[in-house]
Order: sequence, then C-alpha cells, then structure tokens
Amino acid sequence: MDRDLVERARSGDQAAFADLVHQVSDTLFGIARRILRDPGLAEDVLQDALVTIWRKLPHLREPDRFEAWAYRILVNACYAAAPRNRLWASTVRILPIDRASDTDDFQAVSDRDELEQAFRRLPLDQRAVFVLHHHAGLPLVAVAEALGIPEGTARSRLHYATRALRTAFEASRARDHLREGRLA
Amino acid sequence: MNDDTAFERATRELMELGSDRTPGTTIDAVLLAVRTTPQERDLRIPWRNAPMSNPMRLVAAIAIIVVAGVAAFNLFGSSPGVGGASTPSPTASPSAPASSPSTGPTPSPYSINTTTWTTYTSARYGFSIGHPADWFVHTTATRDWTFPADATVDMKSTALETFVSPDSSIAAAAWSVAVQPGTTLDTWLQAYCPLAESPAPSDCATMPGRTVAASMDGHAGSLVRFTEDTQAFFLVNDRIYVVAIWQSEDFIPGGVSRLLEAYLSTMHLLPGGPAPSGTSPSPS
Repeated sequence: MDRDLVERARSGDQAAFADLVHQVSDTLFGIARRILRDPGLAEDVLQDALVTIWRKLPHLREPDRFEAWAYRILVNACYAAAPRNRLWASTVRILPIDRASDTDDFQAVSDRDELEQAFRRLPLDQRAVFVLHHHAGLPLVAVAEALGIPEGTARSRLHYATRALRTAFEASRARDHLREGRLA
Repeated sequence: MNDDTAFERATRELMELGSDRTPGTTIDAVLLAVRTTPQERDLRIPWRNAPMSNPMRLVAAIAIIVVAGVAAFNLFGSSPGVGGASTPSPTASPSAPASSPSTGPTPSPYSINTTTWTTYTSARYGFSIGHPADWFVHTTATRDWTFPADATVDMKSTALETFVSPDSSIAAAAWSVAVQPGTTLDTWLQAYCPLAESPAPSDCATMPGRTVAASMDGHAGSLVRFTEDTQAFFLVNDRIYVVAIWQSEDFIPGGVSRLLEAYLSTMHLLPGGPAPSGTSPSPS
C-alpha cells in the first residue's frame, strides 16, 4: 500500500482517497462477498465501510497499517449488516441438484454445494477469520491483529469453522457413497 | 482422490468462486458521498517522537508515583471501616448507595447496568424478563415451544420471546417447556444438546466443560456455551426455563455470558406460573 497516498488521504485529500479506493476496493469487496455470501449485500457493506474509512482516516496513527485497519472496519460493517442476513435469512437452503451422473466433476459440485451451505451456517466471526486466512492469505497473527482479537481466539474460530466445514463435507461424501452403493 | 485433498480442493473453490470486481456504481457512490462527508478530527495528543532520557524517565516515574499517592490518599485516606469506597463501575446504578462500604467483589469493567432495562412479561411461559431499552421485541411467542421440533434453535421461531439489539447483531430469546415429573436438568440437556449443537452434535461430548453454574430468581441452573450461542437452563417445578443469546462467546467485550447473566438477573417467575396450555413431550 502506498504510504504517501494514505497520508494524503488522511489529511483530507479526496483525490488521493479516490486512488486509494481504486486500489483496495476489489480486495475489500472480495472479503465482504465471501463473508456475507451475498454480492448485493456486500456492495452495500463495502460502500458503508469505505465512507467510514474516509471519515475515520485522521485517527489512523500508522499509515503502514492501513490495510489491517481497513479490514477491521469492513468486517465490523459485515457484522452490523449481516446479522440481518443471518437472523432473517438463515433458513435459506440451496436446493439439492438432480444427480445426472457419477463423475468427479459432479462430485466436486456436490461437495462445493454442501460446503456452501455449511459455510452459511457458520457464525460471522468464524466466517471472517476463515476468509481473511484462506482467501486474503493473512497468517493467523495478522488476522487477529486485523480483527482486534487475541491470536488464540482467531485460532479457535478457524478451528471451529474448519471442523464444521469438514463435518459437512464428510457427511456429504458418506451420503454420496451410500447412494452409489444403492445404485450399483 | 483422498478426502483430505478433496476437502482442500472444495474449500479452495469455495473461496475462489465469483468475481471480486467492485461494481463501478459502488465506487461512484462512495466518491460522491466523500465529497460531502467531513472527516473526523483527530483530537488525540500526538505520539512522542523524541526518545526520553533516563533522568527524565526517573523524574516522570517519581511524578506519576506522587500523583497516584495523592489521589489514593484523597480517595481512601479518610474512609472509615473496612474496604474503603467501592470501585465505581462505569455503568453503576445511580440508585446504589455511594458511601456504603463494600466487601463484595469489585465490579467488572464489563458490568452491565440493568436498572434502565425494560421489563417484558411472558404469560405464556410464566416469567418476566428485562431487556435493554433500545433492543426491540422481535417475536412474541404465539405457540408453545416443543421438543424436539423447536430444539434446533431458530431465532425466528414463533415459539420464542425474542429481543434483538439495535444493530441486529445480537439476539436474545427466552422460553419454557413443561417436562415429565422426575426429569433432571442433566438428562434433559443430554437430549437437547445434539439438536442445539447442530451441525456438530459430537461437540456435546465436551458440554460439561463448557457448563457453569447460573442462577435465576433464586433458582440454580446451568449456563452452557454452545458453538454459536450461549444458553442458560433452569428446572423449576417440572418446567425447564431457557434464556439464549445468539452470538459466539467472545463477540462482545467481557463475553456474551455476562450479557446472559444480566438477562437472568432481571428474570422472575410469575407466581401463578405459565398460562394454561398443553404440556410438551419431554425428551427424557
């Protein structure tokens, strides 16, 4: 991240902030979309988060930490918006797809659908850690720093998330094997 | 392909799907908003850049000790009896007697002031309970909670009395259910846990380690930290009373358990019990 750009935006330079937005928006959008699993909601959250980042930029003491600081604002915006998603729409289920063939590709689609459903059932704080670690590529210590939580907490959230996904994945595989056995 | 590799591939695909390209309209909207949105002023004292010399450090340390000593003398020096003045909580009740000596535990910095809470009465389930005044009542129960149909917790259930925080990030719910005479809280929890811990019922093996004692209106019970929420259970007169907070434990400073305990401190059973209705089958 261009430190000079951050410093200029911090001192109120709107053109510098526009450049900054163009540099970080895709990354932030990708994180929000993965946490929320809803591109429309992710757009709204990103918009809110970027305006918040602009407002609060003068409080950022260390421009080098801009990205971690921005991640925290974004994830908090997800928390604020997503519960409506989580609480009001948590029963949304992906309909099972018709089983046309027993190819590996089909298995992969089936696995992914199962994981998608399992991911949507995860609490948001676990989703955030999982996305920052596995998608944004942050090591756990950086995830913890970005979210303002102890590293142990980040580790346990990642553990619970991974375990829930793996449980769903293995259940899906077991069902598929059972079905294959019946078809054979 | 073994399952580990397949799992890794599937999770990688889960994280890779879709486009990350920010829609141009979103960026336009942000830049438009920025034009009319002032930045907040940073009023904090700037960081020191120059290193402090050792003699200066010594002088500063002595100054801090002197100031702290004078402050301590003013606070505690003339206080009679044991204990001195109690440490004020940031959210201490305004009606609490300020001068009475306290021998109890020091209030936590995360103490929750329930004196301003609004009381909600559930005739259906036979209790009253407080909730923060700015939370809204999301659901008023219109039917009885039943086992096992309602045990897979769904905060939108019409069998719950549900309160939601202003930003919708936390939900609290309360309900009660009649059980067969002789049912114990432990046996009921053993049957309830696998459904509450869906999709990972195997987590119930560690439930005892996540259970602590709790009290409500003079009744002893258990507070259990589930993976996604924290719930408290009380067995009173062959009826289980449950209060749940939907958020993981470390979502708020001080823990969600503390918020749940605050809810429990406001909860009272109605003298006449719940309104007459059919009893739900017990899991035992």
